[in-house]
Amino acid sequence: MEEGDLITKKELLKLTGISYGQLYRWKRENLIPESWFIKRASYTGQETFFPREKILGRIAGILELKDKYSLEEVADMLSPELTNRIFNSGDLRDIRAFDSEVRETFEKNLGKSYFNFIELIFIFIVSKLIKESVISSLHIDEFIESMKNWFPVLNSTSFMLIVFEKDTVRFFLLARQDSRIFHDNGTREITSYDLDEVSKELNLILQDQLKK
Amino acid sequence: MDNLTDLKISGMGKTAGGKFRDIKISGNGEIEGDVQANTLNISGMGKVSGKTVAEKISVSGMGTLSGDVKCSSIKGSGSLLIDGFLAADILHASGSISVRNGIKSRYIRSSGYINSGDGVEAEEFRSRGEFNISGLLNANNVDVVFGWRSYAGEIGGEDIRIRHMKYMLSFILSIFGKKDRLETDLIEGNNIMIEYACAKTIRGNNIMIGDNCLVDLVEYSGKLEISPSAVVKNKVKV
Repeated sequence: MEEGDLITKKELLKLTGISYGQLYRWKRENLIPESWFIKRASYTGQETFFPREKILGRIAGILELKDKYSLEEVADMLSPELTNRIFNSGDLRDIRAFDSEVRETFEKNLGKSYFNFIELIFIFIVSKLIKESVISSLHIDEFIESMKNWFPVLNSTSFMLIVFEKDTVRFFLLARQDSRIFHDNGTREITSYDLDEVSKELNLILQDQLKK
Repeated sequence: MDNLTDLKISGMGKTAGGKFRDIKISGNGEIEGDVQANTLNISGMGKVSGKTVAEKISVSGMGTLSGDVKCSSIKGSGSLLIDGFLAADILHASGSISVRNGIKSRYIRSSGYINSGDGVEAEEFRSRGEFNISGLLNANNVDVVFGWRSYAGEIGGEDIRIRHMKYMLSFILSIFGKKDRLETDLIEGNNIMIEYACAKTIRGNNIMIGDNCLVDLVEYSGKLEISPSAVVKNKVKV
């Protein structure tokens, strides 16, 4: 997994026009995840870097939403670790982005009809995987079994889900965002999902849904 | 909370945790396990070996809370040790408060000593005593008047004012070459005013470097003032 393009804090402030005070406030409000603050030694001492695209997207989002909503509401929209909402099957049925078969398999395998946000993220991802034909519906069961072990450790969305392929076998890997992954030459990365991004997308869908 | 009972330990006692209305420890008491209460009052020597959730906590003796603490107000005028994370709305320290895993409180006011093993977050951080914060002190308003020594890994926020308290002993100590100093690696804020501070980097809009400061690098976008008795190695207008 490559590290991607980084931006220094100074550059970020210049580019977006926000102040140190705002940046520190948003950090306190959990609008910017801790894992995005990357400390690196530089010739002037220590500098803080951010993943460029993610932070620019996030700041644009905050600036757009902050006039319409309170910071707490914005935090709820942008960082799911704060949303403690529970969704029932009825709520889920209304969400068009969820594949009905995937939804039913989740209900069956987890043995419940109430889901938290993290579980919703995975229903969403599996729906995407089916839609993009990365996995077939035959493999959903197997995949959900693995997820059962993941849920207890997922206390935030600072994770990546990566799909690899070797020969014709697909496999899934869950990794922390700040970790680097090295695989052998025969293995190919097919696709990956940044849980932060997916949750943002899902949040927007849910916001729309709730308005109706 | 209507049918909850009070818990009072006034001699020497040990009891199990649970839910209570008001807890008062005035002798030497220990609660084993998590507690939830309306108020927790320790005036002797008290210990909770578990998590504490309470509306109001007040410690005037010696208190040890060995798990995470969640409350709306906490007052420490004695010595309080929290071996976990402290989440509060209002924190008043006039004695000594030591927290191992960091503090998040909307309002922090101290005239005593605050020690934190991790970052501290507040909307307002007002200290007239000493502090030792390993990690980031992140507050919208940082208003510090310190005597002797204080330390924070980094300080960030909107308005940051760090002033030095003049007192007799500091003059005597300075004769022996011991200088009062607030030390930090980095200060970042919109408006920064410092005195008697030693910092590697300071970044902000309007910056005032007062008496007896030692700063390696200042980056400013608005105004910069430097006292003649301060040493600033590099300054850059950005």
